[in-house]
Amino acid sequence: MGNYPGSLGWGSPETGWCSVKFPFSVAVAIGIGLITLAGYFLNIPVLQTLRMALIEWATTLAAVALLVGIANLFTIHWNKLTSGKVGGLYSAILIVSLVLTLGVVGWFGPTHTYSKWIFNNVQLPVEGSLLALLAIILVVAGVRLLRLRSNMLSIIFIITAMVILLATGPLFGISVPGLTELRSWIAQVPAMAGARGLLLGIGLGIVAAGLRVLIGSDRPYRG
Amino acid sequence: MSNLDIFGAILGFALTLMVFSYLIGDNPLFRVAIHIFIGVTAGFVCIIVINNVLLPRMIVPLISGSMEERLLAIIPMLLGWLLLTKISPRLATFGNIPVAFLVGVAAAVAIGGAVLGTLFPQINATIAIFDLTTSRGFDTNKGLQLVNGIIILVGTVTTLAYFHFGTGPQQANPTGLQSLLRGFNQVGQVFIAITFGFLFAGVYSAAMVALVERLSFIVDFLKSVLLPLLST
Amino acid sequence: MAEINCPLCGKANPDDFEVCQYCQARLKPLLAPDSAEENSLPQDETGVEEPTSPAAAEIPEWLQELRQDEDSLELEPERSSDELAADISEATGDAGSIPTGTPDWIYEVEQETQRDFDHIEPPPPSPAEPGPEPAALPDWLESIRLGLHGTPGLASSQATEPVESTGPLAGLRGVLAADALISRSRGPATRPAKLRVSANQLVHIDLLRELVESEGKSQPLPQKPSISSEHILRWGIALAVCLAVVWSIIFPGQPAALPAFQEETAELNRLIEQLPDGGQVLVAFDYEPGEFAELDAAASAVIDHLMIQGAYLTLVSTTPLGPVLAERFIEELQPVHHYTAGVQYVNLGYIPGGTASLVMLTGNMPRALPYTIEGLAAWGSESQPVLPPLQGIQNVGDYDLVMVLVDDPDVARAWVEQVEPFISSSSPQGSLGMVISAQLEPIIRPYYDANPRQIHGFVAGLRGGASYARLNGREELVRSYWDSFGVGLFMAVLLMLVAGLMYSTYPLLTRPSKSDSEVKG
Repeated sequence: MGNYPGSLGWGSPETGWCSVKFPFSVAVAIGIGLITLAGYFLNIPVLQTLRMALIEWATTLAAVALLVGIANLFTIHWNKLTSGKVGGLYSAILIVSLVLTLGVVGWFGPTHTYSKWIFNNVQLPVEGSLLALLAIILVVAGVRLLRLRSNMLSIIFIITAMVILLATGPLFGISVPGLTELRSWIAQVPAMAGARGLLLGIGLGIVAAGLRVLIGSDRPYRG
Repeated sequence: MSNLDIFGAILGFALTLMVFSYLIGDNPLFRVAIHIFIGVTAGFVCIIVINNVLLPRMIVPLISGSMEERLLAIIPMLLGWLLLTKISPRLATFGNIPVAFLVGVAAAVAIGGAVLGTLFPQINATIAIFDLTTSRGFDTNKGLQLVNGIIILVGTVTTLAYFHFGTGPQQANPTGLQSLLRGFNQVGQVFIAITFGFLFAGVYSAAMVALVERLSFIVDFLKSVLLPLLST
Repeated sequence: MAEINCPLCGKANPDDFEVCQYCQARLKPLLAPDSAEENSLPQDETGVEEPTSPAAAEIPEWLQELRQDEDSLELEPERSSDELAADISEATGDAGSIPTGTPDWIYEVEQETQRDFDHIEPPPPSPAEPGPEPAALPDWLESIRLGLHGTPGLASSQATEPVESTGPLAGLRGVLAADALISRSRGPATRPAKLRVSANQLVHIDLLRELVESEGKSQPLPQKPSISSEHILRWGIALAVCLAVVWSIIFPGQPAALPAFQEETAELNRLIEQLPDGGQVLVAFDYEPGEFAELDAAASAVIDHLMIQGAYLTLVSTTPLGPVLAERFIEELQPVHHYTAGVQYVNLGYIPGGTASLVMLTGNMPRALPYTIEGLAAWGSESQPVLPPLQGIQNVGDYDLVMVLVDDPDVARAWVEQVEPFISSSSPQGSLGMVISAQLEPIIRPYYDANPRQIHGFVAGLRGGASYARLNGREELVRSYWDSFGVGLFMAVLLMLVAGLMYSTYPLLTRPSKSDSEVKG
């Protein structure tokens, strides 16, 4: 009935039937999504059981998606290595690290001493150092903000950040009167008000985006 | 300390310096460190996913599970095989069905959580501030609680108004309603600036702890290497 | 009745008609005047004599002869105009002068007119009146005239123009060739124009020409300076901050006091204190390895407190590396409690799917996480019973406390949205607590301040962990970071303050003074 794989065409204009092409994947997304959403608001045992089964399959698929991503990563770097492009050495390093880790962790298990050795001496130092770099970069960003954009909002932003930073640390043991109370008030009143507005906005945005997927208006899975 | 531990400390020290070299500029040492890190992470993730998820949920039920468990395991296995076709550009179209499955579930879960977990409770919380009969530890003074409640309400509403009405083009001659909205937007921007300033301070605090930890590690490593040398 | 052929269209007309009834051409020529005065053209408006009726005028002999000849000519077969011209030229003896195709009566008239004019002498110019001066054409008109044709006048070119041989205009000179005009359709001749262009416009013209010419050509990228002011700024800040922190590490000085606890920290402390003996706690390690320093320091006192209370811990994670972090945390940071896997705690590993995985925890945990990270059956089998930390547990609502260690705002929000409603509805004593990174404090506080509370207590960042450690006296890990942490924060504030003062005063110092601007003006 359809014109391409994975689609269902409902007749043709000549026969008078509906001629809208309705891909099967859209039907899957909408149907599965509606059943899952209904389970939040309707306490029907069959619906709850079906919802849990669908969610379980989705979590399993998410794990497969992770493997697909890793396979794609391997393929890209392997192609870069074998084609002799610039950066092939880095791809070789990545592939060697990946294969070594697969071998050690796969053979001994994730909680073995050797696996923990790799984790403690490679993973943690690199990730920790990357986050430590962020401290320097944030100070540079704060300094540049004052140079590039000195308007009222930037000044409020920087002053708030400085007050919170001063009140968060020990400040060489010096106790500034009212600084801690000011920090608490900022955290519990204006900052919380802004954060609550942000959360409400995020929630509304999620509902809008999700409904667009559930009515088939947005189809991010067609690729 | 065993030889493995010493070698591990040297490796950690070297990788730390290689990442810190980014302060000078992008360089091959930094890239080598990042590629090693990506390879190790991918290897860990792969093994944990296979051991902790795929084996117990798909392989073991098919081999040694009951008939019901086997039937229930076939569907995710089929969908998983279809998802694997995404690796090939020619067959990627067949992977749209499991992706649609994931997207449908994710959208529904997100909507349900946002409505029941954030929208309703947070709107209720904004109103409940004005319930002066309940005592909140900070605002023992009812008057102060009321003032703070008004500030929170104004901040919440103006922040939300800014995100929904404040990002469009500004007209040269606004009407009365547009002027009111513009005033709301400006107040909302002040609250957002305060919130983001707080967030900036929080991110910097987290990064500073990491910097202190890394510098402590470097100092301890140099002490453990230099002190024996100096003593001899 | 006799007929006369029209000289223009050739159609037969009655003899007494003066003009052709088809094309209105004259059938009979105008009569020439006898005297000189009569020979001058009448000076009326049209310059045409009005025709007189043939009956009234006396028909001259030559015209009569002409008509007789025409009558005789009609009886003869049709002859070409060339043959006729040849006959006429033989008759008149002037072979080269008769234009081909010209009716002979017109020729006769021309000859007679020319003979009459030959007798007339032009009047001598009056000496008293100088002749009119030739008109002085303006230069632009003269240039147009010359430019159009290239010749000084039109009349002198007539003699060189060919004589038309066919059609109704046969015998005439200066006839425009229709074929040539049709086949050669040219547009109007271009006239050289001299525009007035300013110097500014010339510059723009050159720019436009360069742009057009450079289209498609690759331009070399500008060379970036190897060391710029941005590099120097970054190195300077890095040096200042790192030196200050290293100095505080090497030379610690007097340890600073830990901060006082906040309300949310005290609430979490109260929740843990109220756990029953053998209470079961779900601990989720949902932070990235990069945040291990802050979260380890913030959570160490909290997990320590749980272990002091003797709680059974179930470790889960929605991030792939979370289970490894959890194992490391228990073994390296809490060795004093000797917690053993499978006895006091169980590590159920990774549950994929993000937000959807949390929904599974509210449903059927044995189905969601059937095995431990070591591969053991966690929920009992034929050969072994259910592990102690999991006894009586079917879903997340069965735990006495759910503790989440998180650094991502989306993950924290997902736990609150998906798990907390289930906890609140299924168990009155169920509670949700969090140990969060400092960057999450503004995002999580609205959930804590909700009524009823969605989060029942939390510890935020190193400061929260320090205040919690001060409560239960377990300060070692926090102490190792606290003083240097304060130095780092102070350096950031100092650098931003100095930069702010510098950038605000620099424009004032470099602004040109009034006297300078007046001199330049």
